[in-house]
Amino acid sequence: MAYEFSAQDNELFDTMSKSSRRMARAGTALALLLAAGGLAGVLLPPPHLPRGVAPAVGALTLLGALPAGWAARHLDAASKSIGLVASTEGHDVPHVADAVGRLRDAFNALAVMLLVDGVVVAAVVAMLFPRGA
Amino acid sequence: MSDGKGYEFSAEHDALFAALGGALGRASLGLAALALLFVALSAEAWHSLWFNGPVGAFFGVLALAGVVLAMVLGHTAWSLSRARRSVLAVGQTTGHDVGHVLDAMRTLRDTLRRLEAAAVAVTALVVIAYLAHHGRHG
Repeated sequence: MAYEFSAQDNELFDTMSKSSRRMARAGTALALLLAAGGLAGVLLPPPHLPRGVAPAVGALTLLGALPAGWAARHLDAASKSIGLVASTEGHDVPHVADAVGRLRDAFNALAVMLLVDGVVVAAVVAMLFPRGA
Repeated sequence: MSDGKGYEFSAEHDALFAALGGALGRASLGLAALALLFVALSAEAWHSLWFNGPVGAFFGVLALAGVVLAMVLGHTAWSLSRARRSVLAVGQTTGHDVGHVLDAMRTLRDTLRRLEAAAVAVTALVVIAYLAHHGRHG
């Protein structure tokens, strides 16, 4: 059975699509920053940090860039499917289903990214500030 | 706004919504855990500021950034949890599938909008922390 969302619903999908696209761009920028920061930590470790700390955190940060880029890619694809719900007629339900699948992939990637980020932050908490200094 | 009364998504679509609900739940848990870690990081930074005095200003700004980030992450975790409930309701209930989808989309859109604002705020705080760090080291 075909179902068409109303004009007001389409406005919601349109704004959701735009927000998703902007966050996908922010996610791509974050992935690039993480990759650059991670590489800097591995290749140019700051001399004032204990030996081995910067390369270890750098490697984890580099690892964190992968799911961030992956999530951004899926969020961008989801934004296109969500945009199609608003801008086309006759295939709203398949577009919603496609968007839901893409959002699932994006949030799964986000969960992996958060796991890596959690390990990085826990490492910083444990290693860099063991006595609050 | 249409309530889509009567329209039911297929079992295949329900499975997709259930999978999205699972992903939202995992992301929400991850965000909550990360928020707690940032609270710990901020506590350590405040501790450094307390014992080092003005030279610990860098850690003070870092602590403030950590607290702001923890609040944003905690609120986002709560929003994703709300979106998860709406998404799971699509498969678990009958008669209001479209309404639940629209609720979930609205919550996700609002979450993304808040994250955009938070990204700008956190970037500003990181720049301030960087400037404070350079001021401290000359």
